Amino acid sequence: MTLYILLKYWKKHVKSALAMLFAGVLLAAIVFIGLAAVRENRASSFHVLFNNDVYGHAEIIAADSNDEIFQKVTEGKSGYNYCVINVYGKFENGFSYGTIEDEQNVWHIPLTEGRMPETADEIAADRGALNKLFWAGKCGDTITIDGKTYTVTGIIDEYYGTHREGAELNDKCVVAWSNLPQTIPLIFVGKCDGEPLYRVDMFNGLIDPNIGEEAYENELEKYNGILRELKNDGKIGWFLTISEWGRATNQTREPEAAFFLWIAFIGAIISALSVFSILRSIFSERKSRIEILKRIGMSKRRIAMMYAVECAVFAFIQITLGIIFGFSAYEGIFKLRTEVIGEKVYSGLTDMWLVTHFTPNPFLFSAIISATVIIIAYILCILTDKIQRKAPDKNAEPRPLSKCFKQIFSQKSVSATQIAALTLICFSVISGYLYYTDNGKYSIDLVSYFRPSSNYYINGLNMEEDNIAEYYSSAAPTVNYIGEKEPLFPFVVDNFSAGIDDNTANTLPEYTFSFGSLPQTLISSEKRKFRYINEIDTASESFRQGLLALSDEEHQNFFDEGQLGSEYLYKTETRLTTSKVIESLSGNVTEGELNIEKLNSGEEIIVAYQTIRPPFEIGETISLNSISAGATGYGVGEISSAEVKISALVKINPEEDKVINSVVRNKEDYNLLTTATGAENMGFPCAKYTGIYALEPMDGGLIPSSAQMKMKSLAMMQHDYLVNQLIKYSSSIAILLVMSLLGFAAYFNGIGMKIRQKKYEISVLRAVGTNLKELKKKLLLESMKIPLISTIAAYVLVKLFQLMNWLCWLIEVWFAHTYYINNTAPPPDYIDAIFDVFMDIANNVFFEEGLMWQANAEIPMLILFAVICAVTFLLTIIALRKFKNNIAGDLNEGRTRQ
Amino acid sequence: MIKLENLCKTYGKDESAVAAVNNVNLTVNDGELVAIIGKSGSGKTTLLNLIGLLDKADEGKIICNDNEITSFDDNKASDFRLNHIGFVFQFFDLLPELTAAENILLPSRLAKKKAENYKEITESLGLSERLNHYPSQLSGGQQQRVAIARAMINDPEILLCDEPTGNLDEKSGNEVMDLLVKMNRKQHKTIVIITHNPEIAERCSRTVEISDGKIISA
Ligand SMILES: Nc1ncnc2c1ncn2[C@@H]1O[C@H](COP(=O)(O)OP(=O)(O)OP(=O)(O)O)[C@@H](O)[C@H]1O
Ligand SMILES: [Mg+2]
Repeated sequence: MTLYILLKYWKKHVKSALAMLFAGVLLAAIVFIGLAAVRENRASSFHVLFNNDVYGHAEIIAADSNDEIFQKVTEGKSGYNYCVINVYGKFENGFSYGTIEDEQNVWHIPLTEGRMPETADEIAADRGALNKLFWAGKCGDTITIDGKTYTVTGIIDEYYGTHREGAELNDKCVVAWSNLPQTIPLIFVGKCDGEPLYRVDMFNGLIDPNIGEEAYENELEKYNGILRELKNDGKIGWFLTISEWGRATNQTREPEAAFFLWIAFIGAIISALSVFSILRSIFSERKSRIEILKRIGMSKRRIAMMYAVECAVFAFIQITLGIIFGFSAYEGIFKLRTEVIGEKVYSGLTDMWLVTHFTPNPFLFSAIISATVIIIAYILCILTDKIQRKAPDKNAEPRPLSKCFKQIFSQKSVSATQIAALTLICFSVISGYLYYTDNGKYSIDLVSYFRPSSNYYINGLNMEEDNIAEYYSSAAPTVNYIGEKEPLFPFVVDNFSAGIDDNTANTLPEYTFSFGSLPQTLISSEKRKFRYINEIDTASESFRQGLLALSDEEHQNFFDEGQLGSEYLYKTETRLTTSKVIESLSGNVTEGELNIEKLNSGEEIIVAYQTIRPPFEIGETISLNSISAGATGYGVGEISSAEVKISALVKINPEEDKVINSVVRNKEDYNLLTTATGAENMGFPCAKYTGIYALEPMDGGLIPSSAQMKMKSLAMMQHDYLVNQLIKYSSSIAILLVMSLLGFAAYFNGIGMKIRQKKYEISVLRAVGTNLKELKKKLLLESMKIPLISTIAAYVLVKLFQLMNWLCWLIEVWFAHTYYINNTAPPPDYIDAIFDVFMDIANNVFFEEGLMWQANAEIPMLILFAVICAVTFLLTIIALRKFKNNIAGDLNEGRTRQ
Repeated sequence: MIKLENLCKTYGKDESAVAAVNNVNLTVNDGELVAIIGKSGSGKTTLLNLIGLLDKADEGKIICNDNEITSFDDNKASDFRLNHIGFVFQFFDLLPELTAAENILLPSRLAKKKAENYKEITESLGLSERLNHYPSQLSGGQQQRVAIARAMINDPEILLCDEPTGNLDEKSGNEVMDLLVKMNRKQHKTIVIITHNPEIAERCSRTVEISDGKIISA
């Protein structure tokens, strides 16, 4: 019977039930998401730890085992995670390679990009190893190792390789490799035929850490014993046991977590408040009904039972739905972050003991918290329901109309909770904005310090604006200079082999521009040439003495009559580019002719200039020299000279084609231009292309590793930038967004509810002749008060928060100035200690490092206010639209509700 | 003068349709005191609601003082209710948040009029001692009298009373009736009273009987 009455009631009040469930589901979902995020935070804080330990998330690792040993180690246990790495051999430079099974489960290899390989012609490799191989590609490009070509599907975080003992990328690498068979691969191959050199068995969960710390350590010690014996017997090459307990205590705190938890906490409070406010309304709505039930003889116990049943049903539904909803929302956000954005994160829904043991269970606690909230709300509502109307006061005058209206429409507890909730939402949204925005904050601060530049500049070009998809570069020739005044005397130091020659450059796609430079070339002349620039002053005796002192023995006659040093020297850079680029310059030729063959043979050279009058004449022959540094790194070591004819003059407008300009021109009035082959045939060292612009992404594997080139990809940089931004913000922002949207929804939900509850009063007022329009105006004004009061309150809170944030910052700055920058004396210990405590509070409570006081709170506040007002207005109008002509019907309905 | 022409009101649809008011033609002249009688559920309240513009007729017209009030929009309708009619509801419909005095004064304040007859009405209805009580603190009969006072406060030309004496003992019922008769006689108010009480019906100048939404005798 009780159930029947309940069912009947809720059937008629589906909207109230839905409103109630909405708030409840929200509460459970927010708590769930919040706790899942706490777990995620905890899990990802082990990221560093796993890589320092180098063996991923495994407790016991044994190298070179076989099935018999395997049996002995596991003692026939089951239920643990297990993974094998097979090491097959090594590539050149000493990098081991191998395969891995089940890499996601046991071994968290930190991929910065892509995925682990799946087929025999795919690999994923450590970035450090790839750099050492001078592979300049990206995910999806090819790589040739030991004559075999693979596709690179994933790039492993550099730090995975560099932090690992026995696999360090240094000179000892080869030795280390041969001495330590246990090396774990830096390059993973999808599949490999043949017998592995050895295998590494990794066990995770062999010991149940839940047995307690001491028992766990004992168990671990037992394994240590078994493995030690095996190693002494020479049955395994090497082993390692890692304590989960040790890791757990090593864990470091993530700073983001504090802010984030704080936001989640506010969200939970908001939904708890809405649960209470809606329940409160429901109670007042059916107060008379309960009175009737009591009058017709329902015992208090049965009424209590009724409430209990109702509360339990609500709790059950909201917990179930809330968890389902929270779970899906979290998974959705997680999928978005990992699959769409490509962020590498751990999931909060992990079963990793390290995480689960030290953090509250989202499932359990969201259930407990939302059940507690609803039970407390019921108890509070039952208690407050008893409050009676005050006794009549004989002498009181009737209140004026406005007061009467206020009395009729006052829903104090609902309004109070609405205001509290809305204030909190506004406060958290605005403080979230202040925390995360860079607007108006000092550009060099902790928040933006690590952010890569959004302008991708290389060699004065902006990759974004000038459409350069990729830029490949190796080291340019090192040139040392000596001298007393500009221009200084240049000596090229190394005759390096980095960069590519014309043969390779010609195999690259159409959309590439290869270029190089010989900044050290000098034009020599017996007579002074007034049109030439950058004449090196070699007349000073002290300069000559200094230069000779640094020069090799056989060049002590450098300044003698008939030697190069006795001539006038003009420092003139020779730029190198491919015949393809030079041919494309035909439209820019002002005089002479382009003859690629003669350029390549070293007979002729081109002049690129920007002056009004060309500095050279066609057909003029110049002596071009390059001086290699002597044994000291300075001075004359070797002189290469060539007689070349000026065959063409090209004039480049630097504004017209920025890429071509950057390829063939330097910043001087003029420079020489030829191909790498041409410069080589003139006998100059370092005649290689050391830079390539690719207008479209190209296969980095086309560039041989001997070129020692590195790559900058615009897409990659843009992606990194985005990911960086998102990593910093995504979880908090996503949750903040979901929460505030849902929180707002909960508030908006209350608007309709409030009007629904006053339906009877509205009908009575209409029946005695109140104009509906007037009434609507009054109700609208009434409901607009809530956003107004809330935003003002939130604004005050935000300002207070900013003030605190600013004070903390001031104190920190003062402290730094007093004790470190002015550096009079180090702070006494006790001040240091106090300051530590202060900084802890400043950072964790007032988010001092967020520099929130610098951001403008007023504009977002106004926007938020406008939005809330607009939606409140709209929803109130919608709720009021229900009132039509059927006053009698509304009255009737109201009466039965009474 | 209130004139009803072919007034129809049906609740529900199809099989469950109830013709609460079925093709009613009725004229109530100015200054008349008309009693409407009929069995429970015969459509009396519905008829009165239609006249008071608390409900919309499906068909037919209501003409009141040469105005076709059935075509009034909400603005005009509320103005009409406020200034030209007083409605005593069968179930009082007092605002629980307001005291008796506030409930009574509500229409005059809404109309921004001075309630000159406030004292007279409340005294004659015997409410002077209960004015600062909330409806929930009043007896049924007291609530009914508050509802009557509220209907009278704006001194309307037409009073529509739905069982105004239904909750009153014989003596108080008669007193209320005396008041209504006096208003009808002295101030020439047009009054329509729904009642089950034949004695009350007898004191009216005319009796209209309704059955199943139809007038069977007028
Ligand atoms: N809102 C409504 N929806 C459906 N039917 C209704 C509605 N209001 C009234 N009715 C029906 O219309 C008929 C007339 O109702 P009405 O209230 O006018 O009766 P009444 O004559 O005033 O009865 P009583 O003397 O008991 O007050 C009844 O059968 C009732 O069931
Ligand atoms: Mg009736």
